[in-house]
Amino acid sequence: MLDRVRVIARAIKQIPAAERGPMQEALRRYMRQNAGVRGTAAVRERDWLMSLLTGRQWAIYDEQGRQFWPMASLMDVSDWLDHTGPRLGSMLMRGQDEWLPSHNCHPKSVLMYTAPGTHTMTCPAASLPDRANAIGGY
Amino acid sequence: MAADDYTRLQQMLDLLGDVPGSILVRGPDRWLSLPPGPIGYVLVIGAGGVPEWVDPSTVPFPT
Repeated sequence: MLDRVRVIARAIKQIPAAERGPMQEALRRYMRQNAGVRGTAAVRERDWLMSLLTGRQWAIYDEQGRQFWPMASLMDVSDWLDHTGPRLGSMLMRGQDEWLPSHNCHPKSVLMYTAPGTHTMTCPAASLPDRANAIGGY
Repeated sequence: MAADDYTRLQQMLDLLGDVPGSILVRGPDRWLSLPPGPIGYVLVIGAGGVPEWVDPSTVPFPT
């Protein structure tokens, strides 16, 4: 894997200097995203190469119109969701106009019902008016 | 949102997990799929700050 990245890095050096910067930055970003990620490295490498060569404009669709290559990787999806600004343990909640990360309190807090239009959050169980106000039972 | 965009979005989110009843949670390194807990369990913020399913008898609800 690393050997192949080094080959890509060497290939980038052959590109005119003015075009090299964004590619080097993309390679650095790719390597950062892959650090410690198992199982998807080969897929991510393939997608990165395709994005370098085609800008993701090229894709394969099946007969139902579903795009299946190149497709987003697990870390791509996680990176996109990070644009909502989550903290550790945040869950995605639908706000008035957009999806928002939940506001979590302290350990042992429970997910509770909040009035329509307010931001769903977790609170200490003892502060609930009654057990029926806790949500999340499955 | 166009139907194919919606389908693609769903397929991308399925990369994180596709067990019905799962919830997306931000973990230490990335977003994770928290599968559904046992029937009757409640969602509580765990010691590590990540939500987890627990037996409600262990939660100090008001009586």
